[in-house]
Amino acid sequence: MKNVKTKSKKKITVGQIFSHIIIICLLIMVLFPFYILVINSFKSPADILKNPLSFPGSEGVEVITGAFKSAWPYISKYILNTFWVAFLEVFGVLLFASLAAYGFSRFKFKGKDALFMVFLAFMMIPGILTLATQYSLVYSTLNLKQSFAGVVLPAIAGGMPVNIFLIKTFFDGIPADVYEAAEIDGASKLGCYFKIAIPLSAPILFTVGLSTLLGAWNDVVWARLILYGAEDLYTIGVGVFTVFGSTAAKIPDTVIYAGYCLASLPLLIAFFFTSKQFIKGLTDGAVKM
Amino acid sequence: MSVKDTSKTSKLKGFLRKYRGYQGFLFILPALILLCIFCLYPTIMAFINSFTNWDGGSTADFIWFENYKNVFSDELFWISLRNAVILTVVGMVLGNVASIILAELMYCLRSKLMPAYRFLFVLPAMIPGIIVLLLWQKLVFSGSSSGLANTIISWFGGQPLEWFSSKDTWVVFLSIFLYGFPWVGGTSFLIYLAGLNGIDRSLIEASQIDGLSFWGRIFKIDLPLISGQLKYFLVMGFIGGLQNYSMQYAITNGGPGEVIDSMQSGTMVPGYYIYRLITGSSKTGAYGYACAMGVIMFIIIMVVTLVNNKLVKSEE
Repeated sequence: MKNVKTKSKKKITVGQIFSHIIIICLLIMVLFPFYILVINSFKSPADILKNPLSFPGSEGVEVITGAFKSAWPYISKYILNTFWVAFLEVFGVLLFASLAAYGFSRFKFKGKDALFMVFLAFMMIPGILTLATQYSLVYSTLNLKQSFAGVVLPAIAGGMPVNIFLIKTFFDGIPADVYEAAEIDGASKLGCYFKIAIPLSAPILFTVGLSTLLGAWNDVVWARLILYGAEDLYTIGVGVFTVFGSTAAKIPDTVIYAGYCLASLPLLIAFFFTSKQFIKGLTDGAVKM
Repeated sequence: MSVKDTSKTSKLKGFLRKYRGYQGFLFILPALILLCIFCLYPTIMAFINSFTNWDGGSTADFIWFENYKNVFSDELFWISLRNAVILTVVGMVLGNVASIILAELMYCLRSKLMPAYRFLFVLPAMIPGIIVLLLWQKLVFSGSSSGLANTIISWFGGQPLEWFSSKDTWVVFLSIFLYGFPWVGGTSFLIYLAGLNGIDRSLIEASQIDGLSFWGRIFKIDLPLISGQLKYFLVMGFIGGLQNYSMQYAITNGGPGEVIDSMQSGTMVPGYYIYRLITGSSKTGAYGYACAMGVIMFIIIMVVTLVNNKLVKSEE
């Protein structure tokens, strides 16, 4: 009996070691491009050309920090702009989507279900259908070209359907007794929204906020359509693609790589300190769909 | 007098009670206004303008089905649609198979290192997408012999490739497929892992007692029980994939291949075609044409989504 047990244990151990090896191999392959990025931003342009895979050589401190020093004036501006755009989008989506979700969850009125269906229907409208008309509306008709408003407002509106759905589902799960108790204590509907619905829904609000943040952080196409020409307003995506990508600017490769590193840092740092909530937030939305 | 007064207040109260529900509408109003301006209006205008020769200005004339006729006889549109289907299907197969394999590996793993692995696999999702794209273009698929991919090829004695800047369309396709290898970084595997963790352990133990092999377990137990996650990725993969043009936008510019209407056709996809039509196309009525193409893509995406839903449901 004992023999059988040790045998099965041993078998598991071999399988476990095998799994570890494959996972580590996969990890190395996933992370290797980022590793080359980092080592190349510490090298001189000549060394990158010679062998991009080599380890940074014995150059002086000047070379090592030089690329980061040259990249910082660009990137710091892009990071600040991206921060503003992301902040406004996250704040707008959370505020308007949670208010609407509360309206759908806690009130009864004629036509409510139909209105909710209208909101949901917009999840089916693909972005490429409305690209031309939305661009013309925001750029020309509303004259929001080269402004954060032109980037942020359509993004908030576009985030409404799915996020209202997610938040409403969560609000629906809060027991009615909790609201009733607060109403007996004299809280208004708006009071209940602030005192009960919002504090009890922190997990879903975090998820919605996070996906909006990543959307804002990654957006290039729309932001570039609206901001093009106003270099002071460029976000990370637009700046890295437009300024670093242009051959006219003649920015050395090593500065570009250092710029990529710097531009990636804010979210990486945030992820480093809150990875558990991050991972939970990233998966919760998809699982709830 | 007092009687009349009470009836008046009770009437007012009744009115308020009747319409109190409509307070809820006030909560919805800001979202509704935003949606009407930035989503509903552009959608309606896209449908209307698909019947006009709108070129982005303030006026346009109705030309009815002319745009649709032209789209259907537009060689570049058909090429781009075919490309989008190929890229979507291959991308979905590679990405999902890789993610499921990683999820299975993590599921079988009983280790304290698990959170560390999870952290490192999700890490790439935090780096701006455009930077990852440019990084692969510049360092991995660099056309020079010192690029990472070409270095690996040279170890096996092969000839270096030009990857994204190749004149050969299939080499560019190959680069797009290989982009992101081994296709597991990000968060997809976590969603499959959550599905696997939801499976009753006793079911798997029972299957082991019955002598079901590892692969038998994956195909007979795991995959059917994570069909919810599979369905999610199937539906979202098609919706996202058929519209996606980040690769064309950031790197290939639709190239290489034959130039049709001053646009390269090799890796052109409908999304990028539409983007190019509204940003600097010399075509007359380009915006109306882009709207017609958008409507066609909308219909295609909707049909694919409905078929997917039906297929997956009937399997259950």
